[in-house]
Amino acid sequence: MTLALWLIKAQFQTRFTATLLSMLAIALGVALGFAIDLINTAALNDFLRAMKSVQGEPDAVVVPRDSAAGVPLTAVNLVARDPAVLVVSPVIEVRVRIDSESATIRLIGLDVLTAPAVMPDLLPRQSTDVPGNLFEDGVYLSRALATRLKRKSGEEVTITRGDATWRARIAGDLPATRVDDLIAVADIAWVQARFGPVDAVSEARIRLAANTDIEAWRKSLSASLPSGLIIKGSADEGARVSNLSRAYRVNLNVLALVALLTGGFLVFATQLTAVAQRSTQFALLGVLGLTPMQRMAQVLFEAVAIGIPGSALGLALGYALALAFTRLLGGDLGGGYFSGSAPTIAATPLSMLIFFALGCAASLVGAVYPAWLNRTQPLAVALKTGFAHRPPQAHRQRGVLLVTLSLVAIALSQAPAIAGLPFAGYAAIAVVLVIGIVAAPLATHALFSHLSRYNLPPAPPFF
Amino acid sequence: MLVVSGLTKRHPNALRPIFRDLGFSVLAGQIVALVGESGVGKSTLLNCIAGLEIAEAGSVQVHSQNMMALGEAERARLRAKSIGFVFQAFHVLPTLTVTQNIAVPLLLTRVPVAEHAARIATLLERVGLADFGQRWPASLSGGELQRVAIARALVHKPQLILADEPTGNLDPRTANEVLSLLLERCREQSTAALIVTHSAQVAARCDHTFTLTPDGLQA
Repeated sequence: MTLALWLIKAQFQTRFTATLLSMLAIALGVALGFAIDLINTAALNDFLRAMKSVQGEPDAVVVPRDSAAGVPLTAVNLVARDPAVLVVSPVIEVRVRIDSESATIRLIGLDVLTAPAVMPDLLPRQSTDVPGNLFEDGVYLSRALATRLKRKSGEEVTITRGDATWRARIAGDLPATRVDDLIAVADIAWVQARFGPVDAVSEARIRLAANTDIEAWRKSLSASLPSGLIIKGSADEGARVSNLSRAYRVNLNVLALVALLTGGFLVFATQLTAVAQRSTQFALLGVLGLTPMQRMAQVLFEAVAIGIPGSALGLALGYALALAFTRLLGGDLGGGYFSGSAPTIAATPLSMLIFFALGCAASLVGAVYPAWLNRTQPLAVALKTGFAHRPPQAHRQRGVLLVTLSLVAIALSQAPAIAGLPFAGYAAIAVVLVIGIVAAPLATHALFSHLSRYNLPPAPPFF
Repeated sequence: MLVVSGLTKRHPNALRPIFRDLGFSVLAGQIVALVGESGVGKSTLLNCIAGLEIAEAGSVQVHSQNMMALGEAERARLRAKSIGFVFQAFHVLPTLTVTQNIAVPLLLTRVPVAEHAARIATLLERVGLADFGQRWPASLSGGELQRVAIARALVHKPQLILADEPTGNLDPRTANEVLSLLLERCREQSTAALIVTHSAQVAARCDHTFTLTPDGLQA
């Protein structure tokens, strides 16, 4: 181990710039991957939290299969009669314009008697300045909406949906909504009478009796409901959002992995050059008694010595990037999936460990071929003449490999997606990077073969 | 200490072997010169003895182990334990200090670290480089580098020294000093040595001389 450390230190000192660049490339790959993972996780969690906060946390929700349709009141009554159901709270949600506000606003009609059990965060608070009882022809605005409309309790607003226009008084606010929620709430009957169908609601939120087997209950009730209705668990909406943004998130992660692969490629180039330049030294160590495995391990140790600080730096950089990106671009990095969210970045030990290991692995994989070359160098030849040149036959083999890999990359790029994700396309990107690695020695050989025709002065001796 | 028997080596695709059916032995403490014309196969023979090249036939017994019958890793371990090397081109690692260079065989043979300093200091003094321990190879002359190489070759007390033209790159006076040093230290440690040389003066100072010719080895 002492000898390995001496050699690593010597390598870092003599090839400082190349080693530093490799380290930074690994750090960049880890940083991008870690930052994207942090942002996506935080944004998704934040979105789900927001969704639960706004919508409450019912045990199940009956919704129409077609979002343009509704849940008939007969179905709501059917659900209400189920012995496992404690509370059914019908909800009507329509998008309306309020005053001259150009964007449409969610107007939620709820039943004030049942809503506390399933939508506590949407409960209105009657203003003390406005006489009357809760839901007496009034609307209740979230603070964000009231601020945006520059309206306060007691004032009247104009609510428009299509051709229907109604005036309503602001009767209070929604104290439990989030600071950035733009929501208006009114009595369900008021909304239904003016904007919704009279015989249906948007959805019915359900609180079940304790210890109910939700899955079994869902299956049982689904059989008796009209076919146009489905029963969703509270986790389904999160899964829907997660699925919707999955390809987007996976693509970003793959982009980060490409950066990491590029880092591995730089480690490959650095270590290959290092092995070539130190072939006489490694041959000497082999003659003195370093076994082939130890010679190979030395190159891999050096790669890990690049990967460890690179990965650690990448984690720190990734965390900083995640913080900066969420402040500048928001939780969806401009993708539009989690708009309005302002997630809190929090790194878990597991994700840190995974990205740290990925950085080290990229560095290690980049050094495998140089390490193998170092293991297989003929000692007597390398000691006498340095790095043993590969015969032209090897270049021909590389050429064949290059053509084969190119065909594989083309084939992969045309392959269909699997489970909605272009895994073959990602593999094609990886193959293209491998093509770069395989082509580099050929290009170098071709270049130097061409240059050797000119009478250039000899290079200074390395040692 | 070293017993070579029936050793035959042929380059790939060559009709004629480099050498055929070579046999000789070097006893413990004996210093033998191997001379011969350029290209006759002296260095190849040395490589075969060191296990750096594999012969077509025959055996090389080093410390009672047949180098030809061992795998690559075992050959490396046998070299580390039983053989010290001195080269014409010195081959001192440029990125390690003099002390670190000399410590390499100790590390490879897992000699306890507590013994390193004393052994290295003793040898540095014996080769006339007592104050050179922390120097870098780039600051040393050819003669000094070869002294470092001799110290490195002897520090782990091997049974055999293989030297390939150890004075070939040195001026006559320095060559004489370095050779004296090598011979003295080998005799002091009762270490056998096989020295490949073109120099009659070097051969004359050894206990015995073998001449390698295209027809074989002549004592």
